[in-house]
Amino acid sequence: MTPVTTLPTRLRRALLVLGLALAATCLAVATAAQEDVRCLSCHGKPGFKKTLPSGKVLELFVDPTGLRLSVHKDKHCVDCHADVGEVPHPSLPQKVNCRRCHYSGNTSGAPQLEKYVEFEQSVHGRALAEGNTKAPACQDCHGDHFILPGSDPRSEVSHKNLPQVCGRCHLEIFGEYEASVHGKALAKGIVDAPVCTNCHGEHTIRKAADPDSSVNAGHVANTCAQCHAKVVIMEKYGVKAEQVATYQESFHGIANEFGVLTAANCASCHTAHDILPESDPRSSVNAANIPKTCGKCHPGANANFANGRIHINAKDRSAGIVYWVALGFKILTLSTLCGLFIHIGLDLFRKAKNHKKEHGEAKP
Amino acid sequence: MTEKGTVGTVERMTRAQRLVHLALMVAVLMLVLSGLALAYHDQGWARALITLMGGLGGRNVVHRTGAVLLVLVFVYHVVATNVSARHQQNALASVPKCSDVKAGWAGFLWRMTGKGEAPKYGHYTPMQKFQYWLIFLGCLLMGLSGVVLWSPRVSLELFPKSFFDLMLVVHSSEAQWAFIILLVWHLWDVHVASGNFPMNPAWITGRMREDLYRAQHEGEWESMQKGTKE
Repeated sequence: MTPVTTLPTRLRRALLVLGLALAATCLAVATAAQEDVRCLSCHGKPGFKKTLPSGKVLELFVDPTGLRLSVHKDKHCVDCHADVGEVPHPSLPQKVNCRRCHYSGNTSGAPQLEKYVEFEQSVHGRALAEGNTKAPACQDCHGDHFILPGSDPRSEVSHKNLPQVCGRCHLEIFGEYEASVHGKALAKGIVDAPVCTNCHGEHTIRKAADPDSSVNAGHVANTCAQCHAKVVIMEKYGVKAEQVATYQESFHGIANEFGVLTAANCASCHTAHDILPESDPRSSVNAANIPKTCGKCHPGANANFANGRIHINAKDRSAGIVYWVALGFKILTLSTLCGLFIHIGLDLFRKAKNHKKEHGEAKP
Repeated sequence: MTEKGTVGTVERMTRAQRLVHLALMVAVLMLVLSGLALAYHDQGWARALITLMGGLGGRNVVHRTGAVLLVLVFVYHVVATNVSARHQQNALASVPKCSDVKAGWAGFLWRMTGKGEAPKYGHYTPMQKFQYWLIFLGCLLMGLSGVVLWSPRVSLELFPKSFFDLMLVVHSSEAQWAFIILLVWHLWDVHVASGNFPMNPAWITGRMREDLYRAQHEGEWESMQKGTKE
């Protein structure tokens, strides 16, 4: 009988612990939810704002539905605004630190990827660490309450919306990008069109002068090649994928490959953000603008620079006389080589024959 | 057969000729190595060569130094040919004639069939003449295209981009063609063929063994024996 009575005791204890835990959770959730209600009693009022002594007006209205639809739908105000306890707040609450949850080894299930480390190394992360108040933190790009994965088209950092996010600070460049072939393509809904992060990286953004930057003179060609060397992508838009290879085979490309960073890369001629098709009279590579573009490095460049093709492929018929001369030399070289080997072969053949003859005569 | 030690020697190259040959060899080696390294820059060996030359800038210095040396050799050769009697005689001997085509053809037939006699060559064999004129014309073409490529800034101010591209393909294609001929034929002719192995020492000592000289330039040998010059 004893074993029978002990089991229910254990079970009872276990149930008690479970029940207490459940009750504690319910209480915590209820408290947090209650907190949310408390917060929203002010912050839930549309138009709620506060003017700081400095004169700065803080828009403090929060639409709770945004948070409920976001990846943080199960979070409560004080989970992130952890320094807020009293109402009204005795001091100005601090900016939310996402690393409260997003740290390596956290138990809340918050994603902790290399991205957070990458961000610290990036131009934005470094500026932030140096105390630059204008430098963006996580929420400045990802949004504050309505955070969604980048794959969600409603997300601020979705492919389509991203340029506007960067454009909030980088106004002038955003204007150039919008007018460029890439910006126009994006506006048309072309998903292949690159946005800021495709060239600059997401959390790895570095200054162009940084040798590790994807847009450093030593890496620009490879960065553009991610798309421009792919025939599958390029043929959709009537752009030649061979432009990458023809650049790599050019003096500029070879010099760049061997670390001569003063040699032209893609952006030196096509510009970085203003990229326009050759046919556009405003394009830096339009025939009328070629002397000016080449003149940046080759002072005194004239119309002769535009007289001929820049991305020339000697292996393609489109290269005209260059193709035929290259082909002619190839045939000449191969036939010369054949002739030389025939000559050598015959020489050896005759020598062997004569050798045999001499020895044949000597033997008997 | 005569013992090797007792065989007499005949002068083949003068001291000046040997010096010019050495300068030409150094220039061509510098040009070929630095040129091929650029043309095949995506290959490992080419990268190693470029690194050895101190990077792309060093490669340019090697190539351009070689180019200046080759131009000097060429200019010296042309001037000397016009002022020195001995050079004029050599130049005359190098002029291609109908007999060279005939001798070349006869040589081909003889090697093929073994009928008749091995052709007798003069001071320069038809193959040597062919190589000489190839190098001579090659120097002109490589020099002219090389000058255009030397300064893209200046040449693009004077000529259209398409002309620059043409000069580039001519320079690199012609170089590779000449290199193959030099590598295969010159090495064979001077180092392997006609009992010259490991090499014909004339480019160092200026002299050739009588028996080999006779075998390779029998036509000239016969006229030398008669006391007449070709």
